[in-house]
Amino acid sequence: MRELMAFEWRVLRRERTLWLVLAIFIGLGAYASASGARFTGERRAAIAELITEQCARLDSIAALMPQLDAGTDSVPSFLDPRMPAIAGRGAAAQYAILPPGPLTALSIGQADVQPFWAQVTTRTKQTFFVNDEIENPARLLAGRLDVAFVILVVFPLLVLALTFDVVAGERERGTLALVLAQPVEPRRVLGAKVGLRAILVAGMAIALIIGAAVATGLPLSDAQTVLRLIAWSGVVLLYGAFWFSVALLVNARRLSAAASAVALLGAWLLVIVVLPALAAAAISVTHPAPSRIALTTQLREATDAAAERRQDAVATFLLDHPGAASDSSARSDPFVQAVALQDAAERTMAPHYVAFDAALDAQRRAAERFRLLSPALVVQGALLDLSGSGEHRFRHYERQFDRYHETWRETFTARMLRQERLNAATLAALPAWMFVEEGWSTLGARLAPGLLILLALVLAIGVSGWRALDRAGRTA
Amino acid sequence: MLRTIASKEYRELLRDGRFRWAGGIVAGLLLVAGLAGFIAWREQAAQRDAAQATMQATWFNQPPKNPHSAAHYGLWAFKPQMPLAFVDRGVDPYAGTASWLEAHRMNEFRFRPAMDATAAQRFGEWTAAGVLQQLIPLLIILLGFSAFAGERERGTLRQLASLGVPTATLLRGKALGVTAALAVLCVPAAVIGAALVTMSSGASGLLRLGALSTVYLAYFGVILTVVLVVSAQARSARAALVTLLALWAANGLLVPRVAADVAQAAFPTPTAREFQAQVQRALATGIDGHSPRGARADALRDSVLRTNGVSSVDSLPFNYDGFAMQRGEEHANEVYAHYFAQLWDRFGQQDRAQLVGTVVAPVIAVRFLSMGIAGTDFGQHRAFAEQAEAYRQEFNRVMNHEIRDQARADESFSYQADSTLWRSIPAFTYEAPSLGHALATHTVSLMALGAWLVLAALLVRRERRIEVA
Repeated sequence: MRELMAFEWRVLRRERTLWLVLAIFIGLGAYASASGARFTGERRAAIAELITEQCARLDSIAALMPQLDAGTDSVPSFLDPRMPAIAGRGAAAQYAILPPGPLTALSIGQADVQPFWAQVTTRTKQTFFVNDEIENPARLLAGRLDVAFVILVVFPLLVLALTFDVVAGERERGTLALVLAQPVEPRRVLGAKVGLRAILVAGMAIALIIGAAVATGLPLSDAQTVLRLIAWSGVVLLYGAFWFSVALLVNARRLSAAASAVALLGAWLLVIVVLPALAAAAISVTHPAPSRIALTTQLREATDAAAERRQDAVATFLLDHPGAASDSSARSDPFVQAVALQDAAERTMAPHYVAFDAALDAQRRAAERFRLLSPALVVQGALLDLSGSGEHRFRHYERQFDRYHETWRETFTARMLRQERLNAATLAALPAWMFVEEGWSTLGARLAPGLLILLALVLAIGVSGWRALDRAGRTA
Repeated sequence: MLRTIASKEYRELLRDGRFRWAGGIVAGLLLVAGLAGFIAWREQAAQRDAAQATMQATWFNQPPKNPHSAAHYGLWAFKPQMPLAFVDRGVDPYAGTASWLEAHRMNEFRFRPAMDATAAQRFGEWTAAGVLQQLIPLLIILLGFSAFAGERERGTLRQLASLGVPTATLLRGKALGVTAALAVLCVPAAVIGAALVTMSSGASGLLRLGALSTVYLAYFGVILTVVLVVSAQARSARAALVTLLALWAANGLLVPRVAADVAQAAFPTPTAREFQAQVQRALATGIDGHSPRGARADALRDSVLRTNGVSSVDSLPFNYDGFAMQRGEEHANEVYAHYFAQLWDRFGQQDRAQLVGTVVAPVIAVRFLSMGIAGTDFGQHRAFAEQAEAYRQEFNRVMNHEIRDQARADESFSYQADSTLWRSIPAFTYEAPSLGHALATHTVSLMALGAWLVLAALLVRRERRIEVA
């Protein structure tokens, strides 16, 4: 068997196609890696800048506080960082940062359109996610040439280029008869041809991934990253296996080489373009994204309504938040009034927010279902999810963010009502932001159905393809 | 003779199962993309119009309050859906749909629809424009790759040559035949498009649809010529197909992405934080970096006092706070105008730099032209942003002047105005640039597409001799 493969390799390596395919693959892989590395590098630099700014700001407040206490320095009351309302509204605000996903350098995915930080204050959440990174929209429209794109779109073409004429080529050249005349079982010859190509395809994919991982500087000493990389590679291999088995099936149909090339191209078009297009159209028609514009208008109306009943709002607020040092002074405190108004508006908004989030979650779930229409979408979803650049990790971030925001507000509301003043020690003890990645179980549960279906599909196509090819390969 | 050749090619294609399948799929996708786009478009247009009306009403119906509080209350400007946005959404999903207009500052656009879409949609979503830009060329390749190479392989090209058919006639006949086959698909699509556009926007939309059709016809003409020329030159049908597919992948998949990266590298944009820092520095120190705000404010007060020959702002014939706030506003306006113009000009430079890629990928020029005609390019996003900003400046000016002219010296921030003032500012409306204006910003793209057409014509002329075997 090894000998047969060696023969086949000698033939293959003298064909221009192989080297052309390899050159394209290496060139695109190098470009994609550089592109991914640049993206994550820029993100990390921006995050480092945010953290520097936050540390400097908090340090300067901590240094100012004792001086204000001692009366050696003074600031206008609306800038006094010791006031909980001032500190919580901006002065002591912290950045809730979403770091680039573990493998974002390999697949940028949605990361270029999702905000990756927000300054958490006591204000309403609506004021937070406004920190889009500056980017020419024409570039966002053009999309990124990242490793995931090379894998999803270009890799199948290269697999097909290597496999479209395994049998038809020999038959058309008339060499199949010669091969069959040899005292070797036809199945073994075919096995060698298919096996060698399988090794080549898998090797190309693995080499691309390892090369890209090294080139983009992924932390390969980190077990989590390596685990994800292994899972990522597994998905890519499954995708390669899918295309490989499709090629076997088409090869078995005894078409001419040109006809089988066209048929495979049709399959590529169906899986990469047509089915995803139908899935996307189905998602956007059945589950359109909820309107942020409508939410903005509703929030404004809710705020106006709360302002019209200012006294009611303050009374309700104090009822909900017992523990004020003095009810009467709280009632006349403009900061308390502002928070109470916001609170009242948020209460009116609560059902709208719930509906908005529910619509968004329903859209995500629908997307997961419609993904199953195309292996390319299943694989795209898995690659993005494992990389941490899809919509799920962002929703996971948003949920953590909401909890953090809630804690932040409660902390400052309580202090404001107790008329406490902050000092350097309480400043250091404020709730700190910490993003926790999703666990493997959640991730696995989300990915498993699609990948298992794909695996079953690959096995079904692969086995029937191999059997049919085996039969077809016995006749010249 | 031309007609015979054309009709032979046309009939052959229509009888070919491969074409029927491929054509059917592309037509189906065009229909799905167009209709899904139209449904989403109508929904979003309705939402936007309702939201803008509500927003405007909240401004008009403000209770009596201080004009400066009203300026802080502000309002949102939501970007309207352009009539042809369902054909080509352009940069709309990536450019933000809403801007908050308030006192003192010009805000960036918020709510990129792409953020709320799923990754599956970003991968799979095709607008009608996407189908026209990418899939019709693929269809043309399938229709035409064997036009010459196939005949040569079958040996019929030699027979044709022996009959004395001039090469140019053959080429034109084949082109006509493929065009006729394509028309079977494109004409109904254009009719459906026209019907939808008429439903959504009437005659003005039809003019744009006409312009859009012209651009795409020119593009298809270029693609068809390249396909036929490659088919005429290729050694075999298979070689023709492989070459054409490589060209197609470069045109649609690779070069636009690389061109966008190269443009960004050649004309880098600041990060969001750098940009904000620049603006803040300019706001604090004055636009030339020489006059800090405190000194500037003092100088302004002194000069006003001198001009009016009084010693205190209380004795001025107008409210000084209103006057000074407007001056501050004007300074901020200048700063924002300067930096946003710089940023947006940079985007323009990048877009023009991307056009260099048109040398290999005509789709880049077509994409810009298509967005331009559909009203969804960045230039028209910018036009909206600028009109919204003008509106913001205007209501701020009216509010400040109200304080300046109506408030006593001691009631700058307690003076109250009522809805007569709010209603004195007409509702915000967006005047979209005309088609001519939009096209004028894409002269380079037009020229690039024109150059491709000229090149195509030259290629056809040059094709005098075709190897018959």
